[in-house]
Amino acid sequence: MPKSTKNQIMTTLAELLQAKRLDDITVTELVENCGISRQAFYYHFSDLYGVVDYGIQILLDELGAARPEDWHTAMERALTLLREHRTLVLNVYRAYERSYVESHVRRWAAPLVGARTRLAARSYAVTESQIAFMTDLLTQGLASIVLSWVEQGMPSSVIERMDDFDILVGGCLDYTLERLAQKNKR
Amino acid sequence: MGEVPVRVLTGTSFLSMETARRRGYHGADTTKTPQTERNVYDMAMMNSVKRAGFRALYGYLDKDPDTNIPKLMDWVDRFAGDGPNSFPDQRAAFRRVIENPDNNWYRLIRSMWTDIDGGVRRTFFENFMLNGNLIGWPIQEQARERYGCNIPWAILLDPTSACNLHCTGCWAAEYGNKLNLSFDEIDSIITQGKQLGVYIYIYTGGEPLVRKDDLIALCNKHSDCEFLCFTNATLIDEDFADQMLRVKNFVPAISVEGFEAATDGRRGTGVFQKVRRAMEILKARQLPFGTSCCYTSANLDSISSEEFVDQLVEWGAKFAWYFHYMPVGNDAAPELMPSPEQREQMYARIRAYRNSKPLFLIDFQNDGEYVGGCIAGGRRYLHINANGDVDPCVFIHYSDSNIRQKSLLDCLRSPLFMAYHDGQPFNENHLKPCPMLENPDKLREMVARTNAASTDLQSPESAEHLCAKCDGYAAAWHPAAQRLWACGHSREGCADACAPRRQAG
Ligand code: SF4
Repeated sequence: MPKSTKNQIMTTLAELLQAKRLDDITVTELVENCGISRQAFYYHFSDLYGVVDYGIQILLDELGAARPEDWHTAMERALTLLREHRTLVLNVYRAYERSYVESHVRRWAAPLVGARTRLAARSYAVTESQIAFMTDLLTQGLASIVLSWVEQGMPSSVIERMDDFDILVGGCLDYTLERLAQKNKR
Repeated sequence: MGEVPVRVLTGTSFLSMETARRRGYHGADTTKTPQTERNVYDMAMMNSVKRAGFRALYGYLDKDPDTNIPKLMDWVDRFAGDGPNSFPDQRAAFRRVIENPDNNWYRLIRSMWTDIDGGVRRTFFENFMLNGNLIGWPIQEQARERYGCNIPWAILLDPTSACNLHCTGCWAAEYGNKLNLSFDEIDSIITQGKQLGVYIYIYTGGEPLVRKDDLIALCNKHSDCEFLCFTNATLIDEDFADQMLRVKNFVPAISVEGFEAATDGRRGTGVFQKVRRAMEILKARQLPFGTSCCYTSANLDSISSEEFVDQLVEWGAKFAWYFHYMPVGNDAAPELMPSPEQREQMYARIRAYRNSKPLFLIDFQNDGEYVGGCIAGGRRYLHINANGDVDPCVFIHYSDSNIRQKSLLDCLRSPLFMAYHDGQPFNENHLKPCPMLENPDKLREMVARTNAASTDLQSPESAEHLCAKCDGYAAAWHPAAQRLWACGHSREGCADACAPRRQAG
């Protein structure tokens, strides 16, 4: 029962987000549309941002874990999914500070990028802190690509270019790891 | 309850801290307080500095409490400097406490890290210490100055007059079980309270947990506040404890009467075991809780015994609040009021335990010296009953305001509350703080002057009837109160006879 109320709230918010920005929607409006009481809403969530967090969590669970070598396919899937809900995503995005969204994207992408870096690093004698450094840089790059993509209205061309991005990352990793390994030997 | 106009300030007109943080504001939650633009800006800046400093300090403690708790005072000393307002004596006393691992206060603080869930502990520090005091206090002070009335530090409210038990002599049961503050009404009280800097809300009743889903919803909505709840604990089950763990800002104060026979005698067979079970459930989830006891001439010796206090610690209580029996209500039993000797015994015992037990003990009638006397009438707190009547105190059921008709601020500016404001402290001797119990003429006078009415819905009691029960008590307590006060606060008048007691305390 509680689970279904939560989902019902999320679905209703998603519907409202087709027409309005998140910060133009009130809890009162949501509960009226949803046919529940305000207290039922607050039993589950602190505010509308909490519903968005919950929605994102469900989305991430749906996407599931990706193998390191498939990381760019995972990215592609995620971006495609976001694009399918374009209006909603933009109406949510505009209610947040960029830095807040960025920190979330980075949190999500870091393990994926980390695994990819580690995979490449297997054949090089590099230190843990060097791996962490590379992961951090690549995660930042990836996050800003995603954010700019959203800000540009989520064009499909960027998704199609994820393959190229993977090649870029792969080359970049191999080149840098090799140089780092050489430096470590000296 | 009919449709009543409630001033509901919806969530969108007030940024919760979490929302503010998400949107990239810092300290924006104070922008709605009554201040000038310039002040708003300054205060928001100050608050973000406080928040950042507090979080850094907390992170430092949290990382390695064993090493860092004792070093806490190095930080504090560095910030405090040696100015006249830097509390050097207090700091030195606190240093002695936290640098000694055997000290009872150190053990209590340390147990916050061994016995309490990390998220709940962090929320407590943020909501109670940071918001409730460091951030809330200056907002309260500004409002006090601006409006010239009392502004509370905490608000007590009764979500319902209903109770699932039927204890003999329960003062809360007077209201019957038909009254409720709605979710929107409580939400409005809290929203208005936060605008005045109040971040601490305490539920009483009735049995507040009869409304447990609404209480969880309020914890969730006001995630920057700390909620405490007087409860008989019999409705705390595994599911509710899970919800407490989820919201993190709900702390029960469980009523206990003593050991099994005393508890079951008053509340019904099997209640004691249910209370024990509730404590076990809370302890298993590392949720903090305390206890509350009402001391009477009949149970005082037992519930102030060392054996009982040790038992509270063993059960896992972190605080214990003791309340003096008040002869409130037409059917009260004045003979249950403690004798002067008994009250003095309580005074000595609680003070002794405070120096030896890892438990935060408060005796509300004898600890006036720490808070400057009576804290009611909004000076530090007020009470809103399940009918919306705004009482000055949980024990003083007279009012000239109802939250359904007035804003919280207007209630604080009502004649009765202003009479409290102007009259406090009611006695220079804080062992005689109360306008009812120890100074009954004060309450008689205030109620008459302000035309406040009894808010006891079952059986309205006149102030004269109530105060007459206290006249004898007040006169009898006076000599002991004078002697103890002189003893604790100046050498003059301190008879040799109380020297040993002073050492014990
Ligand atoms: S009115 Fe009496 S009981 Fe209430 S807070 Fe003041 S001193 Fe305490």
